[in-house]
Amino acid sequence: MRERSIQELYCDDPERADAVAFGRRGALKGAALTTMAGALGATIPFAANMPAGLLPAAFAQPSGSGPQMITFEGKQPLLLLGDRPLVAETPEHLLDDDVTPFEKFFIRNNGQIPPQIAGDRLAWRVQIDGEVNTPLTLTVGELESRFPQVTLRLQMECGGNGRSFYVPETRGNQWGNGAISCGEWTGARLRDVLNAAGVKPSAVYTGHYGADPHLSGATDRPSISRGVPMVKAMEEHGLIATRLNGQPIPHIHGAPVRLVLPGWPGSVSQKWLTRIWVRDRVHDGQGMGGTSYSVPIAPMVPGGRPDNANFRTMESMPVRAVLTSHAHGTRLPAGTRRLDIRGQAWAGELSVRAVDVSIDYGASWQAMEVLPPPNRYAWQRWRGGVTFPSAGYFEIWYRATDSQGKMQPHVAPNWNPQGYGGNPVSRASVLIEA
Amino acid sequence: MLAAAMPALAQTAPAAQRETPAALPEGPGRDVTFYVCTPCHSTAVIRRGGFTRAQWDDLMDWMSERQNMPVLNPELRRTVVDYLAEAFPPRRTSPRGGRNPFAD
Repeated sequence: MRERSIQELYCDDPERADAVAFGRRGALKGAALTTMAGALGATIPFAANMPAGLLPAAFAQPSGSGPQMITFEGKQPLLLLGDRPLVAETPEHLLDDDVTPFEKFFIRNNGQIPPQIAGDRLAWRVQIDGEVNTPLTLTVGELESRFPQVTLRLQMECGGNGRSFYVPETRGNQWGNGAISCGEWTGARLRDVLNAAGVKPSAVYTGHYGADPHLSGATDRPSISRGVPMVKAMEEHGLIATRLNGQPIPHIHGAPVRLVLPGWPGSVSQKWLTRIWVRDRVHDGQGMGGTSYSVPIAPMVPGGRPDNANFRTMESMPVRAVLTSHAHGTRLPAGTRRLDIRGQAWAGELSVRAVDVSIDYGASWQAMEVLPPPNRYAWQRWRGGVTFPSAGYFEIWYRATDSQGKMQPHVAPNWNPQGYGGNPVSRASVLIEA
Repeated sequence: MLAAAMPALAQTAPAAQRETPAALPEGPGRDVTFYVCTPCHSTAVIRRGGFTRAQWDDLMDWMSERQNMPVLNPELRRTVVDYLAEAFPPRRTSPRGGRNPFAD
């Protein structure tokens, strides 16, 4: 009964409908009203210039039970985790390139995608202010010309990578292991830019701002605004990046300039960067505090209600490996016994000291070769061979160990309601034909 | 503003599709839930979830406090949370097959 009356009310008097439904007039922003209008076939006066959620035909429903894929221009088909906000994961077997090309780079948006840059990308401005001696406004042109340019291969991983492994399920995008890339990024060191502004002793934390609008359409709040402690901001591998793999950063990945602070949740690597606020306290922007990007200090009961005071912000990402030579579900020809396999592994602030593989469900493990990274915070190649005893169904389990001796756990650890830190040993199934 | 960004996606997709409440499972409160939630995000964000009623209810506060959702009046909130709890309960069971002995 209530549904019908709300619909009728929206047709007659949308402002009053808002008040009835939401407790205050005009509570729904433009996007909401347009959605309502579209659904009801009515015209709502406040809906101008606010597009409803557009769902490109590329997001067609999958046939059968296969995963939904998205075809984004210039990219290989990626796993679609969400269309609004747009989120897409790279299948593990597409992560074989040591330097991740654009076509295999995962997509992660918190909000709407900002408009394409009008005019010269070199004119885009980034503001540095707060606890600095000299606030700066630097154009992309100045960032590229006034500061030494550094090119580094840097891991970029979504904070929620591995979330799908939690039981019971948690909120958020249900990533497997594929929210990871290792591109070659070029830019000024964040440290050099902060030193040019002159960081005051009172500086504690950065707060980052970008041009991506909040999903609701509100202009008074960012879609995401996180930051890092000054010690991380001043670490020499952190970049204000303007190029990816030698080319200007593509729009979907944060053009024309973004932060790349490797080894921490990707949300600190602000895309479409407009401002770095050097603060005298821990940043409290969108995505800071509570259970956001945080893990429990004292472990909580899985599925239970969190106590916010029991949470600390996640900093370094945990150790993880991907298998890149063979997709889950690979069929191998009859007679296959020896298989060369390989992948990538990384460990946030740490490095990877071992990768082990099992084909008997963890009953026995074989060490793989692990190569050193080309620079700190790049991922590391691992490779080796496995020998199967017969034809049949096998699982390749792969487990990385970090430089402090911590292995990937057997299941997603330390349950939390937003599913951060899920880095369990993963597995790929293969079938050797008889 | 967003219209200018759409051509990048539109190049991969000849036509835009708009979701309808039918994207969600049937049940009392489905349509209202659709209208309350999809101004900001698609139904994918809803359908990926599987939570207890208490968790869905807590999520309404999080949406209002953290994501700019208008505060729902009690009756509307009850309708929406009842629908979500019925349509999207927890789906992943413990690997041991049993119930967590400490769960509420």
